[in-house]
Amino acid sequence: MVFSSAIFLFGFLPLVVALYFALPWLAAKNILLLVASLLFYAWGEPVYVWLMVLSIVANWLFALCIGGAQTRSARRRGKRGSLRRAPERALGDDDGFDSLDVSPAEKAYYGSEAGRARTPALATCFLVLALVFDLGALCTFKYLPFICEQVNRLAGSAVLPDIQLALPIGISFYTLQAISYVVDVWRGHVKAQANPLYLGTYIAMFPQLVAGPIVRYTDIEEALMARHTSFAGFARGVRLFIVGLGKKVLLANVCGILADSLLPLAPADIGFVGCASAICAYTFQIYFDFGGYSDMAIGLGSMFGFEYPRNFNYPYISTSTTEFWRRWHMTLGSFFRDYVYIPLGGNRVSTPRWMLNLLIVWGLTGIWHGAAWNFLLWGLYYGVILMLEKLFWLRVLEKLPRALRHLYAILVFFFGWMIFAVSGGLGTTARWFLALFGRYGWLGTSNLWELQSWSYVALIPILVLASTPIIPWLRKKLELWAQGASGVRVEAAPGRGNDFVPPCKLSATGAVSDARGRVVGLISLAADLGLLLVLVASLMSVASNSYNPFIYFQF
Amino acid sequence: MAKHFDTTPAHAPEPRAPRATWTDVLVCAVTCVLMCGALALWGLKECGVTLPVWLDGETANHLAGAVYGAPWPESLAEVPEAFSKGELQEAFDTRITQNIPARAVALMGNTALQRSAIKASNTLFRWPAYPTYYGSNYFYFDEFDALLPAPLTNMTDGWEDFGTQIAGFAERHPDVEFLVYVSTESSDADVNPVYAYREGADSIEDFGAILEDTLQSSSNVRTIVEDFSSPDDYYELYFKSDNHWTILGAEAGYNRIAEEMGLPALEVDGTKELSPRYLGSWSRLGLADVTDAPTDIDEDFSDLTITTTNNVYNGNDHSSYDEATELFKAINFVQEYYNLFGIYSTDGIVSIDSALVAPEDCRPTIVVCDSYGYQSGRMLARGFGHVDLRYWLYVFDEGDQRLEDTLAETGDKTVVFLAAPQYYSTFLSRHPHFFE
Repeated sequence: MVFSSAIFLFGFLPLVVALYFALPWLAAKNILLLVASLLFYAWGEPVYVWLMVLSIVANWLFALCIGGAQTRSARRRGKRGSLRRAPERALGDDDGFDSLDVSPAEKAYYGSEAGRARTPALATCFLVLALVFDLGALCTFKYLPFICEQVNRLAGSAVLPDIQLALPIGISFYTLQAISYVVDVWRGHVKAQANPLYLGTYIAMFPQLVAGPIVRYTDIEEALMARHTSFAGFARGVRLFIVGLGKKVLLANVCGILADSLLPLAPADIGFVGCASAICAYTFQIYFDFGGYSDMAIGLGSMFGFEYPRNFNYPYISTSTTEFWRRWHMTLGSFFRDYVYIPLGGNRVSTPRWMLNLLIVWGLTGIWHGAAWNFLLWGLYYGVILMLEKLFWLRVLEKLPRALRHLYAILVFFFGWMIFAVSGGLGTTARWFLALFGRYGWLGTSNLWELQSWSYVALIPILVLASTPIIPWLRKKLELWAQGASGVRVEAAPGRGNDFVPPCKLSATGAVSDARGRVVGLISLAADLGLLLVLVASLMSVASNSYNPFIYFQF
Repeated sequence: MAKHFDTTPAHAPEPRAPRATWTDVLVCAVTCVLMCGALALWGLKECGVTLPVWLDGETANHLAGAVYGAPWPESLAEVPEAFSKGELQEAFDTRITQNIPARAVALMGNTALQRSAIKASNTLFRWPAYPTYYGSNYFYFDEFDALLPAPLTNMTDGWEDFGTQIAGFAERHPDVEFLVYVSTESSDADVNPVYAYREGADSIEDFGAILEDTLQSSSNVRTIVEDFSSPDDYYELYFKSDNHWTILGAEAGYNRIAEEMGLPALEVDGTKELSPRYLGSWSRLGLADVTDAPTDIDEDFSDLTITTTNNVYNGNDHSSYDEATELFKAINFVQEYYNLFGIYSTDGIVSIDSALVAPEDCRPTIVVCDSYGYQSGRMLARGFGHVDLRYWLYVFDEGDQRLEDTLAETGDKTVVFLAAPQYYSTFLSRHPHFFE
């Protein structure tokens, strides 16, 4: 089931919301969410739901064993088991991994020597078992068919069986969530959840199950045990859900039609215009598709009283690759930072090792997206660029005008999406690259009408504006104006410290004059009516059964 | 470059709205109404409540994007298996989608929204025709407020096969007269501007050339290939929203056949307009609100006796159309009014006799046609005196019929083929033994 399907919007969601608010007890609400989530998953994956149930049970047991081993170890040392406080995550402050220094607090946190000394070997054994289980399942379903295929290709014969396994939807996401949970238990940041149903609710929760954001257990632990749902919070979630639905259905799907019609074609047939417009369409499609999905997930979470971290912070306004990755798929970046990069030593190692760490992390980021060479190449492409930026290029960039820096970032992610989107091997990618430099002329063997790129021209301003934080900027400006604070510089989407999606609502608080308050109120009403129009248009599109793929389902 | 990991508390979420406002209530209430609509409609229908046409999903089921019901499991015991196969999910999906309120309005509204963006983009390019929505295979012809299909492709082999086989058959049956009539259906490059932009498209002119080439030594095969010089001429005789010719197109077509075969011409005094307006197949497939005025000629056909497998009708009989709902009239005008799937026959075998034609003037004829035979059937019967209509050229018709058997069975000595070019191309793959 997908958020933008008729069955979800017109059937599943209304029923689940109604039941959720009809139930008076938190425990019952949690169980309802678990059951609904399993049904949500099983709707499209009736068989693989058992794999997810197995993952929940296994991780619950492993975490209990880890916690038990730690408690026994602490008792033997004559101390009461206590939680080591996790350093708070600051999603925007990793500076693309380059500023990750390990402070004394983190030494304990990340298993420094002192920390490891306190961690019983048995707990580490259970952690290893949990990781083997989680990564084993992921590798089996996601990478084994690819590995077999490559080995057979190298050997020139069928050395290994030709394994054809359908990829369980969302396995990449819920596996990372499960890993973060057991690792956090091992690190002593959270207590193992004794109730498997609650852990199941965390891992399987349908809003973020199949395409993120990658929520850590620490993010929702408190809310799982005690949360307050308010009508204002529900309305906030509804607004964000509508925004996400609009992005997905009205923008991403439309761009997807062009991208999917051109990407399978040969660059020689479509020339520069075809290739460039295909990559542009894909660039917008993947952002509005994934960003829209994340908004919907966060909105749904908010409706049920959960606060999910932000996943996208207007990445296309970046002025460097480092900044781009601070804004794009933020929860994945922070996962790799906290669970791979820092344990590898981060940047507190020799420069060659630091560079190796970066390449490892970005190689993993690449193949996390899929078992194909283009994904690995895409990850390494970013790894190399980030290395260069960290070594010297970022300092050069800082001296350039902002427009040039922005152009540079656009070119980097544009070519990045080309590597990402073009399948068919490195040769095909090379031909696409050459086409973008005019190797096959403007139009290849096609004519402009046939390519259909021209029919999207009117959408370009909408797509560009929707990629920028113009709406939050206007909202903040208006709010400041209402408070009489004119002339204040507003940064609507700062690269740092913007880790939660703000409410999609204009509200004048503080000392606001009546007249200005009324103006803000009217604009707020108009904005809400606009939002409802977006909802109507989106539902019309969903009702039409029109083109509706979700890109991130394949990862 | 910062050298310290920031251990300051994570940035807290922006404070939630402290209390709900009336706009919160408005947004949630409207969202709730919109999203609960399908369940509510489904419930009302199950309770037997009759709903207005615009609200229920019936209209949408006749548009592109229609969803067709998947069956429910017959018993509770079958539910697990149906779920594991995805059939239960499909059944739910179908019911929900079919019951989305005003779904036809949504379908047309969604494409209208997309078409407005395409139209705005086209102001820079000024193409004469553009897609009816993103990804559509139908094109809106702005100047004529008409719809166009995508140009034909990969037709040549089928056309050559048809030409070669009919030439061989005609040579083996010199006593039989053949006429191949090819109706345009927008496949003329002078009519459909999209042909200018589609590489490798096959037009009616190409078919005409193939027929000329393959039939040059067949003296008993005549051909009529329609040829319009401009869209203005074309739209005088064809619908703007549909692939068929209008009744005037059928009349013009008949008169060309009559001229070629030495039959009396049909002189029409005028036409009468029917209602409601016709939302043709291209409108339904292209999801564009282009309609035509449905018309018939002012002609008394009471001399005609139409015989089908099960019934006998009078030539003026339009009872199927008269009794249809307004929705059916609007979307099925050609089929329902001129009929032949509806009232005349369900197996594609119809014969029509005219009492006005004297037996000695009667030239019994087999008319192998597609839906172009709907409007022209009555006229052809008036001209030939007796026609045996066979809808074997119809796009979905398949079978192992042999023309030789049909000729022997009917005793007819004239065969008229009447269809749009693409159906000739696929004909022999659907009826592989036809000319054996």
